[in-house]
Amino acid sequence: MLDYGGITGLAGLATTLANLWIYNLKVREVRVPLRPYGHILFMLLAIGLGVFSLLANPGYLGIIGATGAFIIAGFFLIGVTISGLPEKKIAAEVGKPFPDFQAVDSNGRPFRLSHLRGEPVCLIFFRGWW
Amino acid sequence: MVTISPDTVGETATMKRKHGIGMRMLSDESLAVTDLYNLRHDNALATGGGRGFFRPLAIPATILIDRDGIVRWLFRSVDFRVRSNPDDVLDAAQSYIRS
Repeated sequence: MLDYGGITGLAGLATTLANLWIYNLKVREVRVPLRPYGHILFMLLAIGLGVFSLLANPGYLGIIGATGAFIIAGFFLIGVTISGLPEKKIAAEVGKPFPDFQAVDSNGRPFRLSHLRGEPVCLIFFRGWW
Repeated sequence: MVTISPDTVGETATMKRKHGIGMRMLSDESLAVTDLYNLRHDNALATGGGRGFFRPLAIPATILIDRDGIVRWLFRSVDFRVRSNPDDVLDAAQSYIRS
């Protein structure tokens, strides 16, 4: 039988999971807000539910729920705090020649961007591994 | 169109194949090119993949270069979740073609 401690602990965990799922959906659609205050608030709410759960003398379900909520919410909050983009100016200027470089293509062959001289190029820097 | 990212050659090959991407995809695993363009993002949130949850990645950016190698337009993301709007890129490309 679930007591208040168990229910709030599991509710905290469910809050973090639902919050993370919605956040991930927004990331994939490139529509996450610049400052995800709503998501941060929900993670704080989840932590609050976890704390309440532990104070309400929960059974093992409440403890599992609260612990899970703390870990997920904590990781998310640390992540959005420290992984913001640095204030850096791109080292290229409109009206000036592009910095040439050599990289490796998906077949493992070396490629120099200046090889494409003579045709317009759209160079896209992808963030990298998710 | 050319893309470049800190992913390994294997990862870019997988992405190309999986999503049927026709354009050239370059690997910048050492971040040498990312550093050349001053687009390194230290402590970026990644999802593990055997290389840890926080590691250097690239700040998303789009650069349009004309036939003579001159930069005509550029966009640098202020948030890693925001990339250049495809409509903006198209507008810039079209105004370059008209000029």
